[in-house]
Amino acid sequence: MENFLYGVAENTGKGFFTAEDRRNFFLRGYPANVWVVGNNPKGALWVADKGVFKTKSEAQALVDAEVQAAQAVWDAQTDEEKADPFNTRPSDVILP
Amino acid sequence: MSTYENLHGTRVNVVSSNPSNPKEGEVWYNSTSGQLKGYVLGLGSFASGGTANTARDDLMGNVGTQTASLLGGGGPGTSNTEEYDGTSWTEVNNRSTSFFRVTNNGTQTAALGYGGYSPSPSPTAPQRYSISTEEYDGTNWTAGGNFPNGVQVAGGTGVQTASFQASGIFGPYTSANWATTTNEYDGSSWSNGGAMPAGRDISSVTGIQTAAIMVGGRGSGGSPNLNAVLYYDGSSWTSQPNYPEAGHGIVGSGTQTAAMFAAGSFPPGRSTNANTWDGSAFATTGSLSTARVQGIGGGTTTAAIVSAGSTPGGATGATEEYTGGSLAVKTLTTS
Repeated sequence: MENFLYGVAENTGKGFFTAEDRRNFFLRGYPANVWVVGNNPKGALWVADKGVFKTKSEAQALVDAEVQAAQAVWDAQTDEEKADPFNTRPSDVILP
Repeated sequence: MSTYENLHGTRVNVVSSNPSNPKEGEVWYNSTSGQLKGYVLGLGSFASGGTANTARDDLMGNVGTQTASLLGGGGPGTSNTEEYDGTSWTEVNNRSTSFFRVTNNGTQTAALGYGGYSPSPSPTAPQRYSISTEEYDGTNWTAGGNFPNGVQVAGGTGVQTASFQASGIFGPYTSANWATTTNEYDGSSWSNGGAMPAGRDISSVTGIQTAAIMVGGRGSGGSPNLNAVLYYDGSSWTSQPNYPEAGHGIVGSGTQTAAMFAAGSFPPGRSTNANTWDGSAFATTGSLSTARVQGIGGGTTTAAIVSAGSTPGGATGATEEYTGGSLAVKTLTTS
């Protein structure tokens, strides 16, 4: 059995996930509203309730698209803006 | 190998049902369930809070409580201000400045915002590093006493009339420096506090002006990442046990001796990790759901808030509320 489930869900704020959810299953948010969820019955119920399931490759593609868009914005900046040491180019994100 | 008996002077009690009034740390064997049980402190955990209307990052400091916090400005260069009521964020009157890498501290009805970086010179950031201090009274931001020197990514904590700044990068832009200088605000003007042992930036500072704790950051020049922890007593600094990881942009909440630190940049990436501090040691607690760096903290080690910050996908308005662990009967296993 795979360790994780993948889904897309918009964080609706208060109550989107609870402290009890966090105790019941692994939960990690990524760009493009992608969530990686522990593969157990409560985790699966959470994804089904809050969003839609994705395969890992579908979820990774969504993350890649958002990160690449952010990278394109960064690449379009002036050299002076890029030289700002705090202004680092968004790095690729690999889902677990 | 040590045994429970050697450590505690008594053997583990064998009982048929869990004791009705166990003491913290008590361990017993439940012969009915065939399980080793203990009355121990569980891990704290994060739950989602309301999402700020304006996503933002580049924030330093901590404001208010889990049910009454504030976001005043932040990156990318916004003056937008929002108040949190424990459920949702509401936009209120904007700051008069809009810098990157600003510091907020105080309470929701008496906050302070200062420092920051401007992509171009401005009256309040003549050398791109802001000298501006703004005071928020729960309704409006008004000008406070100027910061002595332009500063960005400053660690800051305390209340509006007794704020404390330590760590940061000082201007001018053309020759930025990581001075050991600290500064204290009395509600109208800044004056020097006790100098740090060494300059650093993007450090997490929480507590009050006369009893603060500093965690992590980057060394002078922007490297290396640090795990060093320092106490400030209002005039001098003393070292404490190291933070579990070396990183910067950690979000701190609480007091000098009871604090919670979460998130941060621990190369190669941003972190979801969180740790509590009890005045003598750090302990791992439940993690954030969204990795981030440089957000705003607030509250206590049992009820804290982490809002905004920079995620791998950019600035976020996501808020997570922390509830500290509580004592409970747990089944003790080797895993």
